[in-house]
Amino acid sequence: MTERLGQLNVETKTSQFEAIVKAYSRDLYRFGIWLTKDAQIAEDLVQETFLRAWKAIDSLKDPNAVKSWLFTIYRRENARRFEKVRPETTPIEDVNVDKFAQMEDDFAKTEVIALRESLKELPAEYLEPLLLQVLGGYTCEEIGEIVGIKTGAVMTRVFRARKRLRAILEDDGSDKSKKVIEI
Amino acid sequence: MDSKSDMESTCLEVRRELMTQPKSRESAIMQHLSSCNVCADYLTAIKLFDNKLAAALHVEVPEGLESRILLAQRMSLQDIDQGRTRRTSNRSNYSWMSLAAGIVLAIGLSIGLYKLGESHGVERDVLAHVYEDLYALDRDDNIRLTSLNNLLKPHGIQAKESIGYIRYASNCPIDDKIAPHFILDDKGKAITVMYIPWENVSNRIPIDDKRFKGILVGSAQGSFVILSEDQEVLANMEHRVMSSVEIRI
Repeated sequence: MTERLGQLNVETKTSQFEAIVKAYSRDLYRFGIWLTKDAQIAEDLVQETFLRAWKAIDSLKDPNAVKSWLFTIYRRENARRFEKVRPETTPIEDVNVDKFAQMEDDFAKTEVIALRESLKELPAEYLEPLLLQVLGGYTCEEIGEIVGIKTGAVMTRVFRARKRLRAILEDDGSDKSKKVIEI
Repeated sequence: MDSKSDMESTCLEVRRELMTQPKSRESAIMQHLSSCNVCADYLTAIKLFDNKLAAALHVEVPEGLESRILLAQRMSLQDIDQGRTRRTSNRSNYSWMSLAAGIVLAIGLSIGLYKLGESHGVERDVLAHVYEDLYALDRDDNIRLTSLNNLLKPHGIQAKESIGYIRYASNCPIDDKIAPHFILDDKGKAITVMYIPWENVSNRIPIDDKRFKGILVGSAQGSFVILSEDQEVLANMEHRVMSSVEIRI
């Protein structure tokens, strides 16, 4: 995807768009489900994001920036739903999660389950940069550009998010109140 | 500051950097890691933690997500094309209006006869598709209502729980367009339902094929074709479908 998409004809653009959907829809959905905590809303936003991306594809100047562009649209669409009305969400427990098929170790499974529980509790300002880092594969600088905050602020948030989550695994689990370590 | 405290200070900085950006390959970090076993162990622990974090964040993506996105995109393309056609027509066709008015009188008579029992057209396309897609009648995929609604949503409709057990659901080509095709179950019998978003009929049109019986029935937006090999279940099924579907446009 090196040629500017806006310069291509409809057929080529459609085929490029299909490649973009195949490459990024899954990452975007996973990002969305943790962000919104609701499978249906997460999918609706993925649909809306790609539809907006398609309609605005001519404005995309740098095809290498497609992924960041999609995450930015997704975040904007997510923010828009709060402008209208605060949505009711269904618990993320309803989401089908993978069955840890490749995790033979029961202890590892327990840790992953504990992490999931903690991720649900993580404040949005910590969770979002972490999702962009782990699921999106972005550097702190790139996350800063997507979220619209300084790199230093991203680093602080990611650091705190990771420290909180690591504390969960390091804790013996006897007292839940001890699991969250304030920094 | 002595060399020991210098080292501790560097270790703290390195660990903070690793905690923040585990994939950091900064040369200063790499150099420190090559000479400090404690920080190298710390990086191993961070990588292990990241694997668990990635596993925790990895949720299943709903089946058919990509095709639903592409369908929405194709529908938006179609809308644009239709908009262009309409705009072109508006500009160039005013001169034809008087001629068209005369033709309308003749067509009006034809439509009157047509609605009295002649075939509507789309039901023939649906029947042809059902014959092509006969294997679908034997499918029992136990489709969730959410999955059906994901299929219906781009077409502006939504089904309720009362639609009952759904054996199969897919988007299918009808007349070069995409229409949702789903199969419901009625006491073990397969009921084929196709929603035709672009077809608006004002009355019920019976379908009497040698194998399938059914109806083409209009709704507030679009029409439904309901087919079964057993005519007896059709009346109930028409009520079940029409009362379980909401138009969202």
